[in-house]
This record gives sequence, C-alpha cells and structure tokens, in this order.
Amino acid sequence: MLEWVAGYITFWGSISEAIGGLGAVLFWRHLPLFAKILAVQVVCACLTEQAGFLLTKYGKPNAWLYDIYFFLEVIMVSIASFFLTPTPTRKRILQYLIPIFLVAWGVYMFSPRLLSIGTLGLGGYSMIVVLLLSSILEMTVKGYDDRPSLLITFSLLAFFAGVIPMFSFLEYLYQLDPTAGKKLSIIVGSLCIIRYFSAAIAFFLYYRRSKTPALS
Amino acid sequence: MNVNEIILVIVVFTLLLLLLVAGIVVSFHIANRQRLQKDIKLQEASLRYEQELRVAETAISEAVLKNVSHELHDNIGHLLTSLRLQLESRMLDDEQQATRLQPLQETLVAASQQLRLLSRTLNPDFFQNSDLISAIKLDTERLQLVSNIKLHFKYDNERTGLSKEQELLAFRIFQEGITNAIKHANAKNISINITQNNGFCLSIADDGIGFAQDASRENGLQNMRSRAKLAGLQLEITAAPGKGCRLVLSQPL
Repeated sequence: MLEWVAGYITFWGSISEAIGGLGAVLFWRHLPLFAKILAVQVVCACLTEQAGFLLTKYGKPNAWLYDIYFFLEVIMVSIASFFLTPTPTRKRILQYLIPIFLVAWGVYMFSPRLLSIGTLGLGGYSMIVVLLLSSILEMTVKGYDDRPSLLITFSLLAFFAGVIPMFSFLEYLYQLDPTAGKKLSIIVGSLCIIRYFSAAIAFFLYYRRSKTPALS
Repeated sequence: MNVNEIILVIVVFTLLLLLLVAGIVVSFHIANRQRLQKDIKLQEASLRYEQELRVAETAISEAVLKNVSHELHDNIGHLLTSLRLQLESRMLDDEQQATRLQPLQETLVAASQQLRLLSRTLNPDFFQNSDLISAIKLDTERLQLVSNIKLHFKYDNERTGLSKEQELLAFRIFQEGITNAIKHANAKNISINITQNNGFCLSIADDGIGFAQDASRENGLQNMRSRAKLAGLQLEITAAPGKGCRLVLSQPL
C-alpha cells in the first residue's frame, strides 16, 4: 500500500516537474531574471529526471547525475534568491556560502565517507531556507507585492524547509533499511508537486502580466 | 525505532515545518494588508488636506477679488462719475467747447460702464442673485466692447444644474480661459458653448496660436485644474502649436 502511494505521488511529482519545465520554456521571454534562473533549474530537474530514468533502464548507475544536479540546484536557487532581493549584505553572504558549499560538495564527491549526502543536503538546503527567509523578511519590510515571485518564493521555502527533516534522518534510515528511499519519495514527491506546480502557475502569471496593458 | 516509525517522525516534522511556512505566508499577507490600509489612510488624509488647502486658497482669492471689485466700484467708479459730472457742467457752461468735449464724454461713459460690468463680474456676491449663463453673457458683452476678438456664446439651457459654488468656480475657470486666449493666444474667434446633453459641459475653443501640451503645467492652467477639482468637475485641455486651444469643463458621469 505504502509503495503504491509512493509510486502514485512520484508519478504526479514527475508530471508537475514536466509542467514546470514546459512553463519555463514557453514563458521564458516574459520572466524576470530571478524567475529565469529558477526556470533553468526546473528544466535541469526535468532533464536530470529523464536522464536518470534512462540510465536506470540501461542498468547504469545514476547517483553521480543526481549529485551534480543537487549541486546545481543549491547554487541556482541561492543565486536566484539574491536576484529576488539584491542587497549588499546578501551578496556578501553568498560570496562566503557558495565557496563553502562548493568545497563541501567536492569533499562529498571525492570522499563520501568524510561527508554524507544527508549532511551535505542538510547544510545546502538550510542555507537556502535561511536565504529565502531573509528575502521574505525584506519583502515584508519593503511591502513587496509581486504575486508570481511571492508564489515561487513560498513554494521554494515549503520545499526546502520540508525536506530538511528527511535529510536529518537520511543516514540513519539508510543504515536501517537501504530501500527506505522509495518510502521517502512520498515526502519528496508531495513537496515536488507543490514546488513545480507553483512554479508553472507563477511562470504563467508572469506571462499574463506581460500581456495585460498597464493602467495609466 | 523501526523504519516506519522514523518515516512517521519525518512526516510529522515535515508537516510541522509546512505549517510554519503557511504561518509565514499568513503573516506576510496580514502585514501587507495592514500596510495597504495604512497607505490608504495616509492617501485619504493627504487628499483631505489638499482639498482644505484649495478651499482656503479659493476663499482667499475670492475675498481679494471682492475687495478689488468694491474698490473699482466705490473709488474709481466714483472718480469717473465725478469727472463726468465736471465735464458735463463744463459743457453746459461753454457751448462752443461742448462739441469738442462730446467724444471725451462718450469715452468716459463707456469707461464707467465697463468698470461697472467688470466690478460686477469680479464680485462673488454677484452669483447670489445671478447664475453662470448671465455672468458669462455679461462678461462676453464686456469683452466684446474692449477687444477686437469675436466671442460666440451658445447655450441650450438657462439652467446649468450646478450649485452656486460650482457655478462661481466654473465662471472663474471661464475667465481664466478667456484671458489666456486674449492675452497669449492672439485668437480672432472664441466659441463658448454650454450644453446639457450628458450633464453640464462648458467648452471654450479659440483659433489662436495654441501651445505645446507640455505648457499645460503652467500656473494659470494649474489654477484652472485645481479649481475644477475643487468644484468636482472634469477639465480637459487640448492644444497644439498653431492649432488653437480647446478647454472642456464637464461634470463627470
């Protein structure tokens, strides 16, 4: 039963990802820089998903592909959060955090025993959550009222905050049951549905706004 | 703890975090709404202040015009009358000079008449016993006498449907518009129309030199706009160099 639910949610997660990717390509011209970075990330997610599926089909390992995607995701979302509310402080924070994350990711890639994916994910995603929260705080203070951007920001926050408990227990869980990943896909899949559907809606809203004549 | 229990713990924590995110969304929404309400209140206060300022400005300018009107009527008018009486007495005393002084007497009579008319249209109290149509008629007759411009005044109804205050402000806008056409536009013809088809509408069109639309920020035109706003009327000014100017004052539908 649990596996059936996991499969069902994963299926809808993939569908939402594909819709998000399609939205990113279709409405690309109408997106602001912040959303363009996220659109690239969504397309990367779609391509990674497809490539991963093909590699599995032909019996090849695909973990390396997800590791590269994970790195790109953290970097792109962090940079996008900077372009959402660009301030000198946030720029300085990113200048320190991105190299640290790069080193940590390098350590994980070349020596997984020193740094596990759980710890790295926890660190990377916590960094994103902090950046998004600070962006939201700044948007609240400045009275920022751009609905599509807010929709993406809140959905990203929901996704990255939502996966933190999973990454906290990931190592322990894999030690107990190496196949636990399938069960965990219920959480990741559900969060993916929220994230990518929101992204697709936001991309469409950017497009619709660009087509609506401004009130004089 | 077995795997399922751990997954349950993860799910619970995830849900708690999602609730937290939902809380942030709600707080953000509330903060934005409060800011919006505050902005609306500030805007309303600023509008009220602007309105009060305009009322005060208009009251001051009307008081000044009333004073000028009284001065014209009582002092200069009195001086002209006494001058006319002296002239007439001189003409009676000396019949030979009477023919020579005749044109002077006529000019003096015309000047007195002009002064009386001007004094009347400047006085806001004039509107207590009169209306906009009569005031415009009076003013166009007076202007017709002192300038070479042809003024064509048409109206389709004796009543404008405006309050006395609105009529006074509309009349001041009319005066400003006509003065501009005479002084700055070198107009030969000015058409003044008042229609009541879709509510009150006063239009003044001249065939003068016109002006660039940017110039509509100038003081006189700004005064007209602020008077129109105060009266709750809509003012549209259309002009282009060499194509005259058209001013439409209407009641918003």
